[in-house]
Amino acid sequence: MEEDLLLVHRVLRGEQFAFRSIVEKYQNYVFTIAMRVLNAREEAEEVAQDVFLKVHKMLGSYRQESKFSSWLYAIAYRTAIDNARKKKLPLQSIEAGGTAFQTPDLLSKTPVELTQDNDLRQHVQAVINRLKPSDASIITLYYLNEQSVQEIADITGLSVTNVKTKLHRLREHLRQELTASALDQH
Amino acid sequence: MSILIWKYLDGECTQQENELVQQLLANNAGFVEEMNLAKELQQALTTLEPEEPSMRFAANVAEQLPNLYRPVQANADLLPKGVVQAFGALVGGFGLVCLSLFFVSKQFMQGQFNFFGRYTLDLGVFSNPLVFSVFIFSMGVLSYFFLDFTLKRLFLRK
Repeated sequence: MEEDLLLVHRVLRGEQFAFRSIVEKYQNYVFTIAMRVLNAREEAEEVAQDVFLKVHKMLGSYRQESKFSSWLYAIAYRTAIDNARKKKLPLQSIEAGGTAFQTPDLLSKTPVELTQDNDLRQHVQAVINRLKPSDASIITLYYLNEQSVQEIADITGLSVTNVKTKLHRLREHLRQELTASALDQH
Repeated sequence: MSILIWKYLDGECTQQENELVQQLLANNAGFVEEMNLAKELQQALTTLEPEEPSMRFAANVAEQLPNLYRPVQANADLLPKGVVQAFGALVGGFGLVCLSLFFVSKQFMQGQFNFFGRYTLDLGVFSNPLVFSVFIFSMGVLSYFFLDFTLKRLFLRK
């Protein structure tokens, strides 16, 4: 966090190279958030670029009330969600009872093929990719970006209780998917 | 039961809940199975790798940064022309009033004012705070325009 603040101060002093360090440090995480929401590589890359340009413009308004990473992820999440809304992608949660968001390559995979991957991590990743964008983002923020429930609530604009509930239901959903997959294997 | 498992794995269980989990792990085979699956999932989730954008991502962002900011037009007028003209007229008016008072006030006050007669230089007029302020203000404005003009001529020559 100290390192981030140092970089921010250096950028504000006009050292453009420091901003490149910020981009290089966070590009994968911001891109992953965009990917979870948009599920399309090219669009996600465009959105991730937009996010960093926004961050550069708004850096002077960063008040250090939250971690720099949380501030950055909040911009990334909102930019990606706005983009998905413009493109009318489905955003509702699994709690709303909608079908999971599926990408064509995953749809083409049969359960047998999925189990043949024989790699739990890959399987989990595939299940996450089938989640609704807002749900996939919560899981990503919690595990990959290591944000606390409170920070996720700040980023997504949901209440802490809501984030906890969603997180629990999402993990249960993942667990059920894994159980079903294990049964398929046998 | 699943809530308890996730609370336990997140390290959010109270002392009582921890004890309950230990009891269930010792006596309940179904619970152990669920716990193991949840642990496996937790492990898989915590070791997920982030997606990677293209190799040129950081360079692309860096290349787009200059487009964010409009270049400063240093040779442009500092203020819109109309404002400068209005301001000039105002300052000119003030200057004229100031100059008139500067030359004629003593005679005028003494009832000796004769427009076509002999003018005397009366520095005492500057003891009037209004005249003094107007004079200083006028000089300030004139200096501003003079500096603006001179600096532009010096540094913005093509």
